[in-house]
Amino acid sequence: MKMVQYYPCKNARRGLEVWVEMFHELISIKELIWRLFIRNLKGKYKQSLLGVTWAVIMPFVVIGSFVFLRSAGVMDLGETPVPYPLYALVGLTFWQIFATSMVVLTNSMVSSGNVISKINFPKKAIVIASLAEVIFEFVIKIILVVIAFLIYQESISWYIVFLPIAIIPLFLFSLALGYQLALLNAIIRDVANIVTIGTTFLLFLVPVLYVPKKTGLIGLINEINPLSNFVCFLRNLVFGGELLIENYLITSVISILIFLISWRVFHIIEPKIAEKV
Amino acid sequence: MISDNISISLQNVSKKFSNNLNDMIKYGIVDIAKDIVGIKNNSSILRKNEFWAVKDVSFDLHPGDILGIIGSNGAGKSTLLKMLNGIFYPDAGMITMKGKVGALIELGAGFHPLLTGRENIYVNGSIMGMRKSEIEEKIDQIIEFADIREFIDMSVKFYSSGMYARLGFSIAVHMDIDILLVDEVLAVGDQDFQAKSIEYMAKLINSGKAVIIVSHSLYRIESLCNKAIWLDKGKIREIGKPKTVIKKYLEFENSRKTEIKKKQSNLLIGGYPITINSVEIINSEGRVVNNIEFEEKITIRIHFFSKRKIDSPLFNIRILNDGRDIIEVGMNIDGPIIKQIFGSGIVECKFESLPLTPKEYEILIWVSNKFGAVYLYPVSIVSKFKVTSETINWNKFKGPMALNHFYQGSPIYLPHSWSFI
Repeated sequence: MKMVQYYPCKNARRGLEVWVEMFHELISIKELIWRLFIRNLKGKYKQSLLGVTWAVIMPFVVIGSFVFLRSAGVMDLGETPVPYPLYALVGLTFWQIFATSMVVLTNSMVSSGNVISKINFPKKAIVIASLAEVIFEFVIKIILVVIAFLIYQESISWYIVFLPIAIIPLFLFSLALGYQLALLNAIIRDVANIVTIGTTFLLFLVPVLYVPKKTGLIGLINEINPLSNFVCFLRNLVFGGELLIENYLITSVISILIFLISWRVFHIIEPKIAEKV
Repeated sequence: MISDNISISLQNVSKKFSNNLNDMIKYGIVDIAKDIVGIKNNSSILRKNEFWAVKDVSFDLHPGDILGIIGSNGAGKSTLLKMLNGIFYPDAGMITMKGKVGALIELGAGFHPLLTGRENIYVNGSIMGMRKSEIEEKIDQIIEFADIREFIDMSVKFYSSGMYARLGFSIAVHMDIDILLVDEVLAVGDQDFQAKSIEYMAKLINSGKAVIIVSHSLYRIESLCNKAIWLDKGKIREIGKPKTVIKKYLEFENSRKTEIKKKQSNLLIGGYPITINSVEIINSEGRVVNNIEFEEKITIRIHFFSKRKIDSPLFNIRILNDGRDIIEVGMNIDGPIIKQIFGSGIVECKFESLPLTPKEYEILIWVSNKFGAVYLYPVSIVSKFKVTSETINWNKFKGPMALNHFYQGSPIYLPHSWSFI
């Protein structure tokens, strides 16, 4: 018969066995993650007219305004290898994996506060289910991207077959930050506002809507920013541009390490959330 | 490790909380930081603005044990239950539980209002740890038990609160569990549903599961449990057979309540101005008695003391049987009979014949001012008496009516006569 024990600092124990516990837990909660994901999705779109279309409207508005600024000559966004709207659309699609994750994951714990304080279940499932929502929207946007390619009659590079694997570190990086922000927001509610403002601002530090700069401060920021590396690499997989494999690999390894640390920290804090949320 | 035949074991379990929000956040961050870095927390010491919600609670339960936890509000009952459920972790001590734990604590927590009842069964079921196959196997039973088949594909936001709770209850009770935690939820739904719930509890108890019940209903604890704990300020005050624990708890509670009442009545300016020293029942022979004969002529005599001069006080008497009001007489209806009272005095009320059948009765007295608006002496039971009868055998007819537990016969006797024509 299964035995459960609760004692102080249980999840803060050191040693490999805790990692084994964490992996077992991850496997055992996959059904729960799926249910929560379906619940969030249905809950979100049931009382809405446009439903999932909203995921698509946002990029259109952003790209529309940049196309306007560019053609009016207000901004120099650089020479793009493909028509600018297509370039911006692909970049934005990858960028929004990160940006949407930050906002959705940060709020995930607080919006489930009611259940957390009443039922004992793995809270990681809540955060992961929110990431699943982001992945779902990403898939919808990919369809939009394919349609856009057909309209512009541009061809997609064969590199794209690597996309499903190459994109995983970006998801892990988002989840890593999301875990911590969700916890912080459960304790201090200001975090959600900071994240919303922060992601809006970050968009301009990453070459999503413009071609990466080589010079100046912005060039340096473009170069060392992990998000730049992800967005540029993934975008070039689609367009068949130059792949900076070394940069991508370093960023990916660091992301995976950050993810592991974040997962472990979340595991330590998890039993205390119900008291704080 | 705990021995084989124990299903729940608590060893010196303690939990502390902070009663200040800023300190709570501060301590929370400090504790978390220490956990991450790996510094041992000395969590058995209280910091500023902290208190023990549960302190040094230890007990063992075997399969088939049903433990009732009683205690006044804030005694730590719910905190203890939340720790057993794994929602809170203890700050000291160790909880060990063998088998799957189910909880009837907050029914329907986690329901999404926009989803249908059926969709919510899946979501709520998996949050509580049921597998998809388990839910699919039991969904028909769940819907049947909750008795909401016609509404099951409707958003739960259109459910009545009873339906909502019934569905939550039904999901919870269909889990395969070895240990059940219950917090005051058996009072869900209408009478039919309550009967079903009690039946379910009985089945569970007979099947050898360990159950822990937190309830304010002492009757329920006494009738369901074989063990009881009285929690007071987070500590175990008494543990043992429900009857003994409840008796001690009630004694304590009653003395505490009288204490509070006394304090509260002293808070009113000078308390009540009239005190009743004694109430006597005088029979037809002029003797003070506790038992009176059926249809006897009696007098109720009240010895009172008035601290200040009171104009036209209104004395009132009520006679009760088993908590039911039977007779009320008083100056509130008849009007005042004295201009002023001050100091000690006696007031009498004569009854030519009391139309009461042979039972036990209580006398309740209250005094109001001349407008009938302000208590000068609050409503309280002051005396008891018994009506007996030598001439009539009231227990002569033991037919079906007498067997009915609730039927105790009329306390009022109206003089009358029968005739066949």
